[in-house]
Amino acid sequence: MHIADGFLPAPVSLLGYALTGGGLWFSLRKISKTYEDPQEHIPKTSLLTAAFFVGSLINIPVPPSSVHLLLNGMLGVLLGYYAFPAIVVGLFFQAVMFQHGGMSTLGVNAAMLGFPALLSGYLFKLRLSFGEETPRRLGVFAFAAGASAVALSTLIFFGLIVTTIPADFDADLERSATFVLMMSQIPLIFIEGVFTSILVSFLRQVKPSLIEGF
Amino acid sequence: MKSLNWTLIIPIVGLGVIGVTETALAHAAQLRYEIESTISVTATYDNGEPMANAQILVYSPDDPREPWMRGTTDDAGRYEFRPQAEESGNWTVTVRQAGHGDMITLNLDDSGTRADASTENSSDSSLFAGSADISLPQRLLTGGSIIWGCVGTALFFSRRRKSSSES
Repeated sequence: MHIADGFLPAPVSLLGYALTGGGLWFSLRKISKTYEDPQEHIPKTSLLTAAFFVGSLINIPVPPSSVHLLLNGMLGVLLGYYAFPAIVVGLFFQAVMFQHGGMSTLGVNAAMLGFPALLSGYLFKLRLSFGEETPRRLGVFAFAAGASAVALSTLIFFGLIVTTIPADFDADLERSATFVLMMSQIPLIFIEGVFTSILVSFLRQVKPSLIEGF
Repeated sequence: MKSLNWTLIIPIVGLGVIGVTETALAHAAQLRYEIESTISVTATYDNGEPMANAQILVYSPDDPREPWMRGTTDDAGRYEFRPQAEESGNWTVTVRQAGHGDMITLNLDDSGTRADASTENSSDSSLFAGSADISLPQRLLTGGSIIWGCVGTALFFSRRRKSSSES
């Protein structure tokens, strides 16, 4: 679900770079203000960036086509503000290595996955305002955060594609094909929600420090 | 007078016989040939799955802005078209389906034969067009290097944190 080169008009690509620049600036500023030692979370960020980079290669067959993992919700939950830079770096390497996305659309793709990741981070943090944390509540919030990031990114993707169909193509045919693809993303929303929930519940038991503070 | 008639009759009859023969010969069968190259493009996703019923636009070298032909791929992601031999130059084929797609440029030389389509050819719309030709081992090696770069960064910062906490 990456937008490749040549699929968006130049102003949209530029706007994507502007939004990504703003998102990076916001995230780095928040990181330096929020954490006493901003370098403390770099090891975890690096490892999850590698996981995100590989994640797009894992295809899940959803008839009639297949979808690949996005993992932006999981990054938001586990990395908080670090998720945005991690996504920018991961997408850059995905575009260069696997041609998933392109260099002109890197800004759009980063904004499309990065901002929902930040929102899922906030959503996961909301659990703290409900009093004492129970394993069940932790799992539910992790599911909601992991699933909502994918759902939001999917909506942004289809919004962008449907509104920028070039005049030469049959818009109705493209819209219906896009709608079919959107339907095939629905199982992925649940898969990623469940995956994030299991991962967070697992980390709570083996290394709770990894989910504290986010 | 008599001899004059014969000099007129003989050529007229001769012409008539030739004329009839010509007409009779026109019923003979003829085979003519013309070599026209048909371009066959196949659209697949990067996992090898065919892009069935995807929209295809073909642009001729004469007018790269207005589609010369439109169509959709079959179930195997295949689409065929026959460019006019007199239109040599770069033919562009674009495929698109649900925000996914690709573009390929075919260079047809003056004789109308396929210049670079004699072997299977693929193209990618990425600006890093050359990287589409990277072989699988090269790709795995570079991918591994990127992952090791991330792991190395993680090890470096975790080591630094430990040593600073010890001191």
